[in-house]
Order: sequence, then C-alpha cells, then structure tokens
Amino acid sequence: MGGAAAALWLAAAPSIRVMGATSLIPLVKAAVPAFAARHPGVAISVSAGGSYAGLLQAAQGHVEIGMSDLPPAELALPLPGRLEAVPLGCVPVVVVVHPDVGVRRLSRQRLADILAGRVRNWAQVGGAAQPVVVVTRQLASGARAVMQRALGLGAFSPDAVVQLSNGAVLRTVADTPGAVGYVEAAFLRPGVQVLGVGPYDYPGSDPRRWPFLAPVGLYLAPGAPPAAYRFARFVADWGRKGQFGIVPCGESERG
Amino acid sequence: MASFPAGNRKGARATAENGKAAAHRASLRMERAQNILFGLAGAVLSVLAAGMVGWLGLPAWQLIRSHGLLNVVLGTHWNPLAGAVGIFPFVYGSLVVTAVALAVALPLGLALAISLQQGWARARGWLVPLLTALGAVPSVIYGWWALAVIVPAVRRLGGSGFSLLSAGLVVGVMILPTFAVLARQALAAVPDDLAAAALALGATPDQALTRVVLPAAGAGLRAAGLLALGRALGETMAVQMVVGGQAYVGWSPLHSGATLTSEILTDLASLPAGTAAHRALDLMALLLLAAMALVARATYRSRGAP
Repeated sequence: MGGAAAALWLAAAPSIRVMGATSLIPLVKAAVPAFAARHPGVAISVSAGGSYAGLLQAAQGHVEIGMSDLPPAELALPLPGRLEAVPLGCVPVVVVVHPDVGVRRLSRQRLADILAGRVRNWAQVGGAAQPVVVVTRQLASGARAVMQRALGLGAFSPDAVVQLSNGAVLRTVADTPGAVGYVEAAFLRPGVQVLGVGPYDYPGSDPRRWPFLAPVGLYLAPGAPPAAYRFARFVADWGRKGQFGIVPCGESERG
Repeated sequence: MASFPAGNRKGARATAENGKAAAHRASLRMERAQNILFGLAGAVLSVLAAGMVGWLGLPAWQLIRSHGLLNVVLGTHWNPLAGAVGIFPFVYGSLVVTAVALAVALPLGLALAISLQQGWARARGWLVPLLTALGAVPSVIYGWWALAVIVPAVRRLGGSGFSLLSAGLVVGVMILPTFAVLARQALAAVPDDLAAAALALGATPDQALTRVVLPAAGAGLRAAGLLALGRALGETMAVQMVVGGQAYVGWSPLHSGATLTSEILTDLASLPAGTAAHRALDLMALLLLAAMALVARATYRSRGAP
C-alpha cells in the first residue's frame, strides 16, 4: 500500500535532475521558481560538475538534463548515448590580464602566441618588461575548448597555471603580475583588465561579433519525461536569459 | 541485595551459585556477540578494501597490458586526449612535494615538541589544544591562506609562484601541528628517570636529550613522522590550489607541477571510464593506495606492535 502510494506520488510529481556546466547554474536556478509557478508539482534539482560530467550523466540516463557550454560533437571523447539539444544561446569568453601588463589590445595571432607560450614577455608585444604567466582551465572546461578552437591552438603554454573554475582564474590573474587568462563574461569582477582582441572590444562591440563565443545548451537524456522537455524549452525561451550573460550566437569571424 | 530467611542457607547458596552461573553465561553470550560484531566489521572492511583494489586494479591492469607498465609509470608525456598517458610527472611531483613538506615539518615539529615537553610547561596547557585544532583545519583553508601568503613569497624567488615548492611549503605547514603533537606524546612517554639518571651521571641537558631521551622516544617519533608522510602524500585540495597543474619533470622546484592527487582531481571529470586516459587515473589512484598501505605498515611496525 505504502509503495503504491509512493509510486502514485512520484508519478504525480515528476522529478527532474539537471547537472553540468557551472556557468549555466545561475540561469537555470533562477528559472526554476518561474517554471514552478506555471507547472506546480514538478521537482527540479540543479547541481554542478562541469559540462563533460553533465553530458556524460545525461547520456547514461543518470540525470534528465545535462548543461553544457560545449556541443557534444566537439568533445574530444565520445559519449555513450545520443542527446537531444535545446540551444540557449552563447556565452562570451573574454581574455583578462593583470592590470600592470601595459597592454590593452592584442591581435588574434599575438594572443595565440602568448597563450601557446611562444611569446614569453609582455615587452615583446609592447607592454611592460614582465614575464608572461598563462592561466588556463582543465580539460573538461568549455571555455578552454572555445579558446583553443577559435585561436587554432595546439596546446597551451607548458608553463601555464591550471585552475579549476572561472573564479580561481580571475583570482590568479588579479594577484599574479604578468598573468593572462580567460573567463566566461558573466563571472567578470573588478581587479583584472579585459583585453580587446583584434578590432573587437568587450563590452562595446556587438556581442554577436565577439570572436570567443561558447554555445550553451541543455541536453535531454534519452527517454527524459515530457516535463524535462517543457523545462528546457521554458529556459530557452525565458526573457531574462540576457541578465545571465547569454547573448544570441552570431557568426563570429573564424580564422 | 537479596536477603534470605536464616533457616534456608542451603537454598540461598544454591540460588547464589545459580546467579553466578547465569552471570557467567550472560558474559559468555556477550563475548560471542562481540566476536560476531568484530568479525562482521572486519569482514565489511576487508570486502571494501578488496573491492576498491579490484575496482582500480582491473582497469589499471588493462592499461598495463595495452601500454606496458614501464611506458606508463616512467613515461613523461601526459596528453590524455591524444593518448599519451605517461604518469611519471605526477609520481615525481608527489615525491618533490612530500620531500619539501617533510623538510619543513620534521625539524620544526620536533623542535616544537621538545620545547613543549621540556621548556614551556606553562604554554603546554593552551598550545597543545591549539596545535590539535590547527591539525583539524580543512585543507581548503590552508590552500586559501597559501594563495595569499606562500604563492606571492615564492614568486619573489622566480616564476609565477604556482609551483611544486609552494605546494610543498603549504603541505609542510599543514602537517606540522599533527607531527608536533604526536612527537610530544612520544617524548612524554619516556620515563623522567632516564633523563634524571643521565643528568646525575654528569651529562649536560643537551646530552641527556640527544643521547638518552630522543633515542628512547625513537619508535614513537618514527611513527609520528610516518603519519605526517602519509598525510603529505595524500593531500589534494591545498596542493591543487597552488601547484600550477603542469605535467613537469625537472630540476626547478619553482616550476608549475602536479601530484598524483592533484591531477586525479583536475582530470577526473573529463576522462570517461573505459578509455586509456581514465585507466591511467585508476593506476595513479592504485599507486597512491599502495604507497599508503606501505606507510601504514611501517607506522604499525615502528610502534613496536607484534
């Protein structure tokens, strides 16, 4: 009897587990109450873990929705199942430097040279005589994949400092003279200098023309319940998306 | 207490003996229950340990069969997405960080223990609890502190400051309180008569310390050092925050590096099970487990246990 009642209750209140990219958590968490107001009785839990972990858990059916800032097709390693994508837009990834490096703008090629460790002193690109300290993210990071693809980087500098989150990159760049790193724009804080890249500025230029855009999306597990589809569509069409740093994806200039 | 009528001594004795026998049976039952409980606990632990070794060992074995043990353990090239799974840089990083940490913690901790035991009798009351509390501070707090203090200090020596040296220093500071408290306990266990006898025979206090007290406390000091070694080898969070994260083998402790634990933390989410890269992480975890088992065994032996 108790089991039957519990089963009925579970059937009446579908539970949706959402997991993945840290950069999407503020948006998805804010969307939950708005969705719940229209669809009472749906339980939604949101947790972090990184894009790759979110996609993997969704592909294995352990969660209903994976959050990712890189498309499954661009993963270096294959997923064990097919996911249905609900694109949300793009998140700009911006290049930040320590305020004392004396550089405000770099060409795309110069930036690639610096991140790859070929340019090792800011004086070589017209800045202060300071050694370059590259700060990068771990392999699972979507922002890392975006930078690598957009700049055609084979690998980051062999001397780079690896940090595990946008916040840790910001703190390291702000505290380390000569440091350069990249973070998702929604996480920007004072204490670092944002670099212009080629003819583009952030903020300032049309965000759709910004060269580093991470396509963000929700990815539905095979056999996810209809409520999960409804929630993903709700987030994708939500009017407040822009407040969480998500911009429309334009055709950013490649090369 | 039960009391009996005077004319019924015999019955009383019989009842008392019955009571004794019942108490004896109860204690036997309790003993059996305890044996079963301990046996169960031991069995659960053994199953857990065997399961963990199997769960890590199977993929590690597959990797060794496909790539060769020496190619993996002594390989210096780590690019897991491109199939390069040499893990020697992380073994090396763990050894360097542990060596730096012990070089910081052992002399300072021993000095602290001796001072606490022999000199600062009044400070003992608050310093020992303080050290115990410091030993229980979560490692992320030490990492946070290291970002503000150790990394900028090491940066003055050269490089970015995120380095094997920084990681070794923060781990050294972390294990110092634990080692000092355990070393003091080892010194406290040496009977005062030994030092008093040495002094009465004309030894100076320094001679009594180095020739009598320290050798007598040797087993306990070694056990304390081995526990500190185990903690240094296993530390993850504080190391990851300041070590830099590069697969590095070379002479400069100022270079960004990585340890077995910090690299497992960094790459776990991106390398799915079933790939050579994930199996390399399994092998790294297995190496750590084996190192810990050796340290635990050495600790157990140096305490003089049978």
